[in-house]
Amino acid sequence: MIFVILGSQKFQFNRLLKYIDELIENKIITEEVIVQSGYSDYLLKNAKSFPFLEKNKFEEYISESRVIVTHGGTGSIVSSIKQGKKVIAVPRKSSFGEHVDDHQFEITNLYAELGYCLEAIDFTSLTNALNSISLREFKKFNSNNKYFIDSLLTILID
Amino acid sequence: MKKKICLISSSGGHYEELMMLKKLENQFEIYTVTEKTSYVSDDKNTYYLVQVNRREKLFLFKMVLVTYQSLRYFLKEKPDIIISTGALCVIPTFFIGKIFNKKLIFIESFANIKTPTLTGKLLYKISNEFIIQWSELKEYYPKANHLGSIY
Repeated sequence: MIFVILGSQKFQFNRLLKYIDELIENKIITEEVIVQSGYSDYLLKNAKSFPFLEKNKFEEYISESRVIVTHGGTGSIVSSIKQGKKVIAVPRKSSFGEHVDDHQFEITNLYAELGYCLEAIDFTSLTNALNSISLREFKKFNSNNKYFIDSLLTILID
Repeated sequence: MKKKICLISSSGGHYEELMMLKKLENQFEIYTVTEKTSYVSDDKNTYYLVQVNRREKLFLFKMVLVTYQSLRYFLKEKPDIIISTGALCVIPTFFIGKIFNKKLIFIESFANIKTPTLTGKLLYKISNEFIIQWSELKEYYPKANHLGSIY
């Protein structure tokens, strides 16, 4: 199963949904696809979609998936790689009205470079990523949260 | 008596990052302020602000509303410390906190590796502590504390 995550920001990402429909029509994707579509209003022809999911259900879909295709939101990316999933991150582009600015490119670029996931910026790169991902291994995500909280506590207790 | 922290952020990734600070409730009294979205369930000790972003037509009007809501929640809870992971909707609370001389801690977003956020740039000067997750941002925030990833 492929789980597609569009996040919760009040911007559409219809472009990614259209890619997914096309990939299913062209049989590049042949398995089940579940989509969390957020504020996008494009109606998918070939996959089941929910605008939003409760946290537990969301984590469950991540867990059950073989591959995650996500917008470049850090919450979605990190939740997925924390569960050891294979992730393709697609950054939103502000010139298409997909977010306030292009900051998502920073994280998708860096995380792909560091080996945590693949980055796809258009239909062609998404197709290539989906075709190659089964053979790819990714770097494990190590949490820095304990160090962060301990350091923050030192600052707070000052 | 435990000191009280206001954890405040907008929705989405900013809220995900904020929730990574839940462990603070072992040592502090915590309440949360975040944006109302169509999918949130009513969590305990959580207050909601109108969801806003700088590209909306009604953005200024919404910010006035957010300011009113922020003041109400602040006066009701009277926090000692305010910690935020951004974005726009937290600005009124920070200024209100500044006026009342509370400790203000801003955590710059994990998503911004090379370029600062607009909210970060605005709140850097008034924050008592400014935390960055990526060292590349030291050039924009020389007095910041680099703690690495919140995740």
